[in-house]
This record gives sequence, C-alpha cells and structure tokens, in this order.
Amino acid sequence: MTESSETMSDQQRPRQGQEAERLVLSPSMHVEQIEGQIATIYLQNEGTRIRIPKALFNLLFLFEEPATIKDALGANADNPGALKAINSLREKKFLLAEDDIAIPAKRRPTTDVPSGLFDCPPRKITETSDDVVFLGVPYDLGDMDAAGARNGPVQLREVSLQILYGLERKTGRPRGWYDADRGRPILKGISLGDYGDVFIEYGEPQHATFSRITETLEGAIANGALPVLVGGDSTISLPAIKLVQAQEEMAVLTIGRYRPARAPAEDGFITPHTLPGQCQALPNISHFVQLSPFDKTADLSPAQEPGHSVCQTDSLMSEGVAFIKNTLPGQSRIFLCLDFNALASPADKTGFHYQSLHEFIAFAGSHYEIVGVALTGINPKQTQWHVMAMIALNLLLTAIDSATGKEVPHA
Amino acid sequence: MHDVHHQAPTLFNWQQADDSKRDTPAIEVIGVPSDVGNSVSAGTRFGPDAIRRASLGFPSPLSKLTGRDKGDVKSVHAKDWMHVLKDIEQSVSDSARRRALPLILGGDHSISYAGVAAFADQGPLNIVWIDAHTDFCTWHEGPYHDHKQVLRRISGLPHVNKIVQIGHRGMTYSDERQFSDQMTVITANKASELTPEAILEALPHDEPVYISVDIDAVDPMSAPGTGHPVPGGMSVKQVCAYTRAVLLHREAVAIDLMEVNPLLDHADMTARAAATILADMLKAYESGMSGRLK
Repeated sequence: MTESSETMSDQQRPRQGQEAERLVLSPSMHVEQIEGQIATIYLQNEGTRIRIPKALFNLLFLFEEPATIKDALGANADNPGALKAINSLREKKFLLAEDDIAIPAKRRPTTDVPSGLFDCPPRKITETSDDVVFLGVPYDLGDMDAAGARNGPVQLREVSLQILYGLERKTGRPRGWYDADRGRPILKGISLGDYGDVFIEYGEPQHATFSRITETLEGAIANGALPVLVGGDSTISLPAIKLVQAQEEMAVLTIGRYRPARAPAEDGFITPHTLPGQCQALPNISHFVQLSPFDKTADLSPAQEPGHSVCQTDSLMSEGVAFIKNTLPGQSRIFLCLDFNALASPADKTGFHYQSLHEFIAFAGSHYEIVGVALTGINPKQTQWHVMAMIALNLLLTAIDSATGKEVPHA
Repeated sequence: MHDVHHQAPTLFNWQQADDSKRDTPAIEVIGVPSDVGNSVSAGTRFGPDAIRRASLGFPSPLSKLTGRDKGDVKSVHAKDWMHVLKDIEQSVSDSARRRALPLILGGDHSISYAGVAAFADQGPLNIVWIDAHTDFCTWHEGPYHDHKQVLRRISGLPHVNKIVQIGHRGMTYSDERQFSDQMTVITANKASELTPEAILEALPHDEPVYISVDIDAVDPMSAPGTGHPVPGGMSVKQVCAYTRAVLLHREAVAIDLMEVNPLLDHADMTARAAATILADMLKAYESGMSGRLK
C-alpha cells in the first residue's frame, strides 16, 4: 500500500460500515466469454453486461463465499484501486451485501428473443414509441388442453421470418405489406416492436406470471400503442384485458371454442372456463362475447349470464356478424381474442376456416375500435404446424391492420 | 437412358421408358427429386416418389395415348444446381424432340426454369403458372435462381411471350399484379369468380403453352404438404378446371407439378391432390389432342 486512507477519493474509500460488511458474488452472474485478459459477464436478473479485465474477474471469486473486504483482500484491503473496483462491481450489483442475497433478486420481466416477430425490432421495456407492441407469453399452464402452446411465441417468430417487416429505404417509414386477398396495402407507416417473451418461472403462482405481463405492458403501451399478446394459452389475455379496460369501457370479443364454466378454480386461478367470469367481474367490461364453431354437444346454459353471450355458428360472416351487431350495439372498443382451438386444420376440418376469419376480422375492425389483440392456442406440437403458423400470421396482420388502419365508425 | 435412373413405382403404374423401343409414348414422365431451390424447407426431393405412389390409387387417365416414366434425373444432390438444370433441360428436350409431352414431377419450383428453357427453339411460348406466389422476387441475374425468383427469370427468356399467373394470394410486400406487363395475375379470389375459359383471352390461340402447377396453389387445408403454404387457396377442383380449360383449347408442350413435400404432408393428402390434378390434366390433354387432330 502506497496511499493512505486519508488521500482516497470517495469512490475509493470503503463505505460506512463496509469494513465489517460481508459481500458475496451475485448468484445471477453468468460468464459469457473469457478471451485473453478480458472477461464478459452479465447479470441474468438485470440484463447488465460488462467487459472487465481478467484480474478483476478473478477478484470477484474472492467473494464466492460471503466475506468482508478485509478477509477477501487481506494485505490489499486498503488498496484504493481494488476498493474502487469492488465498489464499482457493487454498484452494478455483481457483488451484493450478504443480507441482500436472502431477498430473491427482482427478475427482468421479459427475456430476449432471437428475432422479433416479422423481424421487427426487439425492444426493451422502456421504449414505447411503437404503434404496435408484441409480447410473447410462453405460458400453457392455465389450460389442460393447451400443452405445448408455451412454444408458440418463439416458433411463430421463426415462421414469421417469411413475411418480413421493413422500413422504406428513403423515408425510414414502415413499408407495411400488401394484402393480395383484399387487394390493398396494409400497415403502411405502422411501426412494430417486439418486447420479447414474458419470463415464466414454472411453478410460481399464476398471479405472479400475470403481474409480469401487466408490468411489461404498462410501460409498452403507455404512449397508446396497441398491445398484441402472442400465447400461450387463452388465459394470458386476462392481464392485458385488465390493463386496457382500466382506461375506458370496452367489450371482449373472443373467437374460440366454447367451454362451459366448471366448478370455480381454487384461489382465483384462471382457466379458459373461468375467464369469461373473470373478465365480466372487471369494472369496465360491458360484454363478453364469444363466437364458437358449432358444436351440437355443447350446453350453452351456463353462458346465459348477463353480459356473457355465446354464438355457435358455422357461418361467421352471416350469423356471427348479425350476432355481434345485435349484442354490441353502440360499442366502439373491443379487445379481440383469437384462440386457435376454433380453427379448422388439415387434420380436423371442423372449426372456422381462414377465409371467413380473415373477412370477419376485417369486418370487426371496420365496425369497432380494436384496442388489444390476443392470439392464443397456437401450438407447435399440433400436426401441420407450418400451415397453422402461416394462418396465424396472416390473421394477426389482418387483426393489427383492422385495429390501426382507419377511422372507426360506431356500430 | 443416360440422364435418368428408374425407381419404382412409376406414375400411374405406367411402364418405364425404354430407349431401345422404337415407339414413342405420347407422354414421358421426368422426376426431379430436388429441393435445392427451396429457401425454407427440405423435403420436396421426395415429391416425385410421393406423387408416383399416390398415383397408384388411380387408374391410368389415358385411354388412347400412352405414357412412360423415365424415372428421376440422376445425381440431383450430387452436383451444382446449374449443372442439374442443364440435365433437366436436356431430358425435357429429348422427350420433346421425340414429340412426347414431358411431364415433370418436382421437386421445388425452381426446376421449372429448365423445363421452359428446353423449348427455346419453339417460341413464342406462353406460360400458365398456377401458384400461391408470383415467384417474381428480385433475381440477381446470375447463373442460378431459387423458387421465389424462378418466374422472373423465366420471363426474361427470349422465347417466352405471355404469362398467366393463377392463384396468387396472401400477405406480400407490394401489389405483385404490377410486376410485369408480360404477366396477367389472377388472384385466388378472382379465380373463384371467373369462368376458367376467361384466361384464354390472355393466351394467343396459335401459340403453345407450358403449364406449371405449384401444389401450394391449392388451399393448405387440402394440400398442407408444401413448404410455403398460404391460406385461402384454390380447391383441387378449381385448379383442374383452369388447367382443363387451357389443355382443351391450347397446345401444351409440357406440364409440371411442383413443391409436394411429403415430409410436411398429412396422411398423404397433398400427394393425392397432386395425383388428382395430374390425372385430370392428362385426361384433358388427351381430349384436347383428339379435338385438335379432328
């Protein structure tokens, strides 16, 4: 030691009580790369990534077990350089006070994804300038029938790379797409951002997962962006519905197979069966309207509660349209939930077909203001996933266009 | 045969082609088990075999004409693609020179370039392209292309005159109907409104046609086994109606059927759809031939 403690700067000086405080290496620290004399490390819980000299990296491991600075550094405990480095690592939370370890570290609410949906830019939760925000929710624990839907968001992103989002070279404006079926451009000038996937701790209470959805969306839609959830099972729409309905009265329009309510789930656990009731219990939900493929075995009697209306039909564009026109008079705001269990597939032709859904969603957008979209039940474990994924992406673009593309007359 | 090798079964259980025999069949089948030009998924290399197997469930669609199966073009995945294209072109050209109708089984759609190129001395030639996509993506103008660029490259061949594209749909980057003055695009929606004979207006009466069918023209509910499915497609019946209209009223110099991918299929429905379309096309070809010969 060549420098006394009297000549140290504030940063170099041990904090008050630090001499006796035991520090420990954060359990969230991971090594990304060690190359030559440089180590790249990151904190999984914070998303912080730093490059540090190998010597400093080695110093971290003096705190693998809780230790005071004096115990760890021994004769170097008064070295200003070492103290400065330790304080810096503390500020960045790579080193923690021993007592802080007992408190579970606060996780980032989302995880990064390899590429954004349609290759749109991946976003951090603080950025909110997009017109449309995607949020993946790889959660399939709320629906017994949705095993595998947790893989929906990441797999759908991969397929979506066949329909790329992009900006015009000269203006930097989103170029959108062209809907060849309707013969018109869509989403021109509408910016998209992908906020990644909500982090799911499998085994944690459902409400913790759902809180993370709310937390992420709150920031993402603060500037009026359209929330678009990609599930996951159909229950993941509830936190988004809760958030959006808080702004103004709205209805929920669900396209999905009808599943009557069973005995209430324990502790408010949300299932597809309890979802309608949970939505209706929210203060600003006026109606919960469900369009379901015709199923002669389904008993609709439990759905005859005020505000919960179910239409079983094989004809979306005649009966379905008439039904929602009658059920949602004067409604201008709807949250659109599209559960893929309602769709026909190559292996099972029962259910709604693409053409009628494509037309129906366009109709809904022209008569109501779509304030949120949840695409759920998309399941890579399903046979013919490559077909169903492409249907999902086409319908998703149609829904977003319907939500963002025009002046909305009241129904 | 130097350029192809046989593998059982044959299309519609026809006999294998035999160069030693002097009689020339009216139709010669050429399989191209390749997916070199498919940018998304492998598996169309098994398409020719899947179509042939599915065709065994059908009686031969020909009553007067004869068909022979030349087998598959050899060494498709054992040499560079531009050389394979030359081999295909040669095989198609050989059949055409013998006045047989080449019937090419893909394989991915990039193969069709070789089929069209084989008729360089028979222009002007018109193209009927039945497909969910226009396949008119930007091409770098080098010696190779992929299945998204193939029709753009074909359109640049000097002997190619008009192109009628049928079945286009889905989300694209621009209005692809405007891509080329040579090309008339009939979207899948429009195709369901028109009578199939309406497309004949775009095909000069006295000029031959090359008919190319990408199985993804068919709705993926009926033909899911293909790499680029696009929802909202044509029915098998509609595709047959359009090809029939052409084959009954225009002289076809070759037919191809592409993009069947059995690795993505469900219960062989796509291979069966392909065999159904081929059977209908061959019946119409035979009828058209008879009509023109009278």
